[in-house]
Amino acid sequence: MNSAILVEDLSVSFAGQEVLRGLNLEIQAGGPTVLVGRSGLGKTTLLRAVNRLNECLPDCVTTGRVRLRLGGEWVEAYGPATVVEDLRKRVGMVFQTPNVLPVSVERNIALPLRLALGLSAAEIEARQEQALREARLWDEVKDRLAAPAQTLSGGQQQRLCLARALAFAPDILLLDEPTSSLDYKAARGIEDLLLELASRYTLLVVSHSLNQARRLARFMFVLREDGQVEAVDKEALGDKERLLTLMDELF
Amino acid sequence: MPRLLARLVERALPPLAWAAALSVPAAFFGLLAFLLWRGLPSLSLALFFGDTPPLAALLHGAPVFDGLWPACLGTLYLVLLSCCLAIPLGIASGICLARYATGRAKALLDFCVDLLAGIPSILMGLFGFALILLLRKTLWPGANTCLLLSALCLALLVLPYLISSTRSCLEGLPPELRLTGASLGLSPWQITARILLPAASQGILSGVILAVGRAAEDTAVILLTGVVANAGAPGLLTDKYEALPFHIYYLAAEYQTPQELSQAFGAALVLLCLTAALFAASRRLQAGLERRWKSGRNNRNGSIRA
Ligand SMILES: Nc1ncnc2c1ncn2[C@@H]1O[C@H](COP(=O)(O)OP(=O)(O)OP(=O)(O)O)[C@@H](O)[C@H]1O
Ligand SMILES: [Mg+2]
Repeated sequence: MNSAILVEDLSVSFAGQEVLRGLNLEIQAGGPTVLVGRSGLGKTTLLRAVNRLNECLPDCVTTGRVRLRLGGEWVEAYGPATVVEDLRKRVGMVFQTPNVLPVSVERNIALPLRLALGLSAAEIEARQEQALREARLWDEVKDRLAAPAQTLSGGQQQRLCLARALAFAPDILLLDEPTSSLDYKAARGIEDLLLELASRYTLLVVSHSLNQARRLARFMFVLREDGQVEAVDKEALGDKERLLTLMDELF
Repeated sequence: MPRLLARLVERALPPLAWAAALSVPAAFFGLLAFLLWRGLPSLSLALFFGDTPPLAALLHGAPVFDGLWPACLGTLYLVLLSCCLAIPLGIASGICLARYATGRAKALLDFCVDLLAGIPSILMGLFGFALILLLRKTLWPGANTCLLLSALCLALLVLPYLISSTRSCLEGLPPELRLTGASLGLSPWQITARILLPAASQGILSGVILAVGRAAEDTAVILLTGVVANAGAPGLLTDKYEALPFHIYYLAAEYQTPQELSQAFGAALVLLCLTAALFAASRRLQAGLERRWKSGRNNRNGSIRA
């Protein structure tokens, strides 16, 4: 099989409180791979362990091994030779709650591109429009690119964050409930986009909705109470009744 | 009975709060009116330039003996110089306290900043004076009190304002902002300089305004570190100089005629205007920087800077 993320014996704790405990996980390239689990069990923490964002939080200790395939090569995420900024440029993340920067809509994409990748203004403009189109946001914001990003609605902000991640053209995309602020139809639009993106990127998606998980998932994992993950096998994924009983057991 | 009291308090609180709030503008406008009443009549070109032709003084640097012009320049230079020294240092210390220092080091630094803020300005002047005495005995026998020394001591005096405002603004920013920057692959320095500082610029500005005001009005520090009544327009950094607050103090303390006293009020009015102009300039600078950061454009319809 063709894997893109390998997690071995990962433990994460906050201020001595263990959230993930000896977790092993293999994520296939492409996907989407959907991660489900009860609230507060550590889905977000697991995503942040992949791009090493946990270390920006106070009192967090991470042990174990995470390997990522970036640009055809395996990278030891926590290895001493790894430059964490380079890693994060290749691993995009969309947060659970929209996290726009307090600048204009276009600048939300342009500023990080300029600072992190050092692209030219022309290149930035091209990527910006393409990313906004892909995130199904272009038509809504093309006339208000200079408006403050906080004036967008919650759902629009979430799509702006998605567009910002896409503009980086990363190898891996971590999506923490990317449709939580969207209505049914807009969520379906994003789901279609994700299915389409899976041919180019490796997608790891956290979802709260079983229906969404069923529509999206090529692979599915459930985070358990004991801080470990369990794979949902292929047959169960196709069978709604089996999936429901499985969920009932786990939740 | 207690319920009646509670209701009374409930009733009385809003008017009392309003009265307290209104006393500030009342005091300010009262002061301003008084200054205008006493100072306006003396405002004239002669107040600034004495007997020297204004154009000669402005363009060719002709000496002005009997006017405020040298003192205006002296105060302007003093404020700009001390701010140039204090603003970078204060912002950098604020960043250090907000982002890097932890535990005991932070507590110690914090304590030092509080201590510095509590030092009376006359002590800061004495410190400058003692420094010159020390220099004279050791490295630099020719050392004397001067513009640079005053600016240094004033910088030290206003440093705590800058540190506290930078620090509290950075700490008040939502933590997600830092996390967002990190998730986009920005380096810690880029996050601080290109995301957090611009986002906090409004609050940092209020520290700068406090510092400018304090540096412009302080008399005690400069009294001991180089200001004199008659020095002409400031030349070198190592020269003595004139300054508006000292000029006001000097005139008010030693006036011989009513005209001289009203000159002092005129000078006070000029000092007020000068400070207000400096406030407006820093506000404009900050607004321009913030607009550029938010939109990536230099002006409303300018080209994209990205
Ligand atoms: N910065 C932090 N400091 C301390 N504890 C934290 C921090 N972030 C997360 N935790 C703890 O880690 C546990 C897992 O949190 P996490 O956000 O990963 O849950 P989640 O599965 O994403 O939940 P949800 O579905 O509600 O988003 C929680 O118990 C939380 O209290
Ligand atoms: Mg979460």
